[in-house]
Amino acid sequence: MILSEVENPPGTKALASASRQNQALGLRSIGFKLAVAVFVMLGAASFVAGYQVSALALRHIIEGKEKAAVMVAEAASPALSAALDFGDGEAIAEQSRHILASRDVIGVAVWGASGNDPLLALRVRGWGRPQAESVHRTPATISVSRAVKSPSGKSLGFLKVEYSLAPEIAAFRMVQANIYVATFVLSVVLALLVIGLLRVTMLTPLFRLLAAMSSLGDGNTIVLADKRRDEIGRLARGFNLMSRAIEDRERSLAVARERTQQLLDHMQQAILVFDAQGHLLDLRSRVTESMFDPEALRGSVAEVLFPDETTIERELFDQWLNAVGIFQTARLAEVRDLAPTETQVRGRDGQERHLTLEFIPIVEAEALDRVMVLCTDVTEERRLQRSVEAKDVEHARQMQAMRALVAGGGQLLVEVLRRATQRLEQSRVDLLKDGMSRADVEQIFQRIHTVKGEARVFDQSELTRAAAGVEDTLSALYKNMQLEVLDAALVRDALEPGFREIETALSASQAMLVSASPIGPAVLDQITVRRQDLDALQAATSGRRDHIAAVAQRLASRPFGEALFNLSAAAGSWAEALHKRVTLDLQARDTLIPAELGRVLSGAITHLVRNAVAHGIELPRARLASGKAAVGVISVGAEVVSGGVRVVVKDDGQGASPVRLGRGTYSVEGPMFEPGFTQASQQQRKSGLAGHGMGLAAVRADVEGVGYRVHAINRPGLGFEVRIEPDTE
Amino acid sequence: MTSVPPTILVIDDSEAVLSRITDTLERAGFPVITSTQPVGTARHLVAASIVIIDFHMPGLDGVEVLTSLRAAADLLGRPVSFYLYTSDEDVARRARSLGFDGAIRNKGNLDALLLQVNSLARLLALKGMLR
Repeated sequence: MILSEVENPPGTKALASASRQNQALGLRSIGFKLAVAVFVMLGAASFVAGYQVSALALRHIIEGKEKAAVMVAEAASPALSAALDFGDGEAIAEQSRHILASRDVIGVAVWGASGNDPLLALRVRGWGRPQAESVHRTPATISVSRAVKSPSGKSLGFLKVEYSLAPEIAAFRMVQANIYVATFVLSVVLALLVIGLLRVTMLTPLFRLLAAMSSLGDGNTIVLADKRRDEIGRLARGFNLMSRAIEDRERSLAVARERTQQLLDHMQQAILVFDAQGHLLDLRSRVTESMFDPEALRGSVAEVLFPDETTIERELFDQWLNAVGIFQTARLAEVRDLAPTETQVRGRDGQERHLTLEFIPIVEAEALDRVMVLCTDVTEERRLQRSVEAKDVEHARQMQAMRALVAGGGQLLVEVLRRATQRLEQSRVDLLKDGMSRADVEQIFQRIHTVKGEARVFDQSELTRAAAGVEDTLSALYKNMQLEVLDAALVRDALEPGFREIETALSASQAMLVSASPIGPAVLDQITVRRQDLDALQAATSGRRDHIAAVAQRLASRPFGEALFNLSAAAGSWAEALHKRVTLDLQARDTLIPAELGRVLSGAITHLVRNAVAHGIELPRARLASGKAAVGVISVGAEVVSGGVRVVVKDDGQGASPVRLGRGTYSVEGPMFEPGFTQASQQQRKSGLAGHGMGLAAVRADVEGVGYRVHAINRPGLGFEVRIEPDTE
Repeated sequence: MTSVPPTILVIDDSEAVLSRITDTLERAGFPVITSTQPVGTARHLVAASIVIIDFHMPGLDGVEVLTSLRAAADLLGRPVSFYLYTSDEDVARRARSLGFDGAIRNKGNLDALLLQVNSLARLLALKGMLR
């Protein structure tokens, strides 16, 4: 197998390492096991084969010997027959000696025709007479017994010759030893050959594969040549496929990681990831590095996001993390919703940063893996909000707050201002003593503290600042008190400037309240009275003209401003719809309007102002052309006259059309106040603004119904005025 | 949050402040009980889970109020959390050592109050889950 590397060749180093690793396996290595198995099997097989072969050889040798022995005995038999026939002992002995001289003969015995004992026994003892011709074999000898017969066939005796097998056995043993050695050597050689073959065809390729794998594990790219068609070849192909697959996967992972990082980096939010114990992990967005102190980012997320351990948010986070760890996925949605949502941290630049937080637990394989937190820096937003609340804008905001308060009755703030004034007075009184004890100082402090608290709650920043200033002075005095009693004059001098500031602030608050109130200064005198009580009082005094009846009447009267509420905004939108520019001048908002007139006045004034906008005020171009200012003015006011009040709605527009109406002053009988009369153009009628012909007539009807009358003054080109006055006739 | 918002008892010497606080918290869905008197508030504990006490109250100071209220709460056998309300950071940090469960900071800033009360409500919900 050829190892071809694409990048960073592992080469010999890796191979050596793999080889070393294999050696390290030692007795456990496949090579060794195979070697042992081969050696044992081959050894056993060749041993068995060798043994069989040698046994066979021995058998052949012995059979050969046997045959030879029989032949010798048979050859000697005739020679002995003559000797035996003639009873020639000498000849028998000579023949026997001759036989004995043969190779390997170790014993000869001859018997005559009868008798158990041999006639001659050379080197043998105790042989009995053979009963028949036989060949007898023992492990070390062959005995051949042959009958000696005369030529006529007469039995003359027996000849027994004993041959030794010792030489054959010795020879055999040597051969056997040789065979064993040969088989051993053969086995070893074969074993080595097999091992060598295995090593070359299998193990070395496997080592290379190991080397390639470890190199792959180190991140290199390896491609193996896979030309072989056997299992090794398949292994190589499989490895290559796996290697490519890993490469592809790594590539897509890298791409995905890069995309994620890019995404994170593009986000304006800081993203931190931490484990279930709160330890920060490495994944984070670029913004995080600039938002937090890098030292802190090595620690726990709690230290980063909630550095002050005494805050509620820190306590909440600790408990939340605890819960997340305990519940894991069980009640995840519930727990997730309880995470902290905001915090304040000190950034790298040492500035306080205000962050909103979103915690996202990440679940993998049904267990909580880690938690991601998105931190959005809203410091600038809040700072912008605050800077936008600079003097003028803050003023407008306070006005709005005032209006909201006033809309809700306004009395709460009035009460606050009144009580603050009282508290200030009380403190001044306390300061008239000769000496001030700690308790006295404390009491003044408490009062001013309350003033500050209330001022804060009602967004009265000037008052808050003034009160805080006095608090600071008092704290300093208190801390420096060496004696138990302070000189009151000293304290007075110290506090007087602060007190004056509080007074100034109180006046400013009051002025703002009045200016924001639709009923003007009347708001300061306002109290809440129940309608049914008022009705009862009026019913009780109706028809009377005495002082009490007059007071009751005034109680039931409403400030003029109430009828004007929201008129400015409405007039503005009416004007805009007609492309005109109009400003409303509201006067005498605190004039008291008698109850019955008050009930119809709002509707009447609305009609009259709408008319002024629709028919009176000209388009800006037209106004400029006739020398007027582009912005038309509609003034609305009320004054007390005998018998009641006079309400006036006046505009500086074009007046009522002289063609239809002629010049001069028109009284209520004028055609304008008849039902059906309308100056509205097509366009105006379409825009829904101008009359269906009922408006002014309705005003007249309402007003007349309460004892008043309507009076119009037309100044063509200069303006139009409508007066509502008591009907004195 | 799906759980029931906790009832909050606020003790402060200024009715006006209490009114604004009540407004803010009730709009956010928290039932509120208020009291300007430190004494006699024990009966309010029956409903409340969170008690917010102004630190500077004329007459008794906040810590004495706390001691008597805690004694009353113990009798109820229900967990009640006591929090100091202050604008002073140093006092806020010392809140625990004074016997409170913690401090609500930035007194006067209603947004900050709402934020901290929301966090407190979550904290109580979590403690409830863990019990």
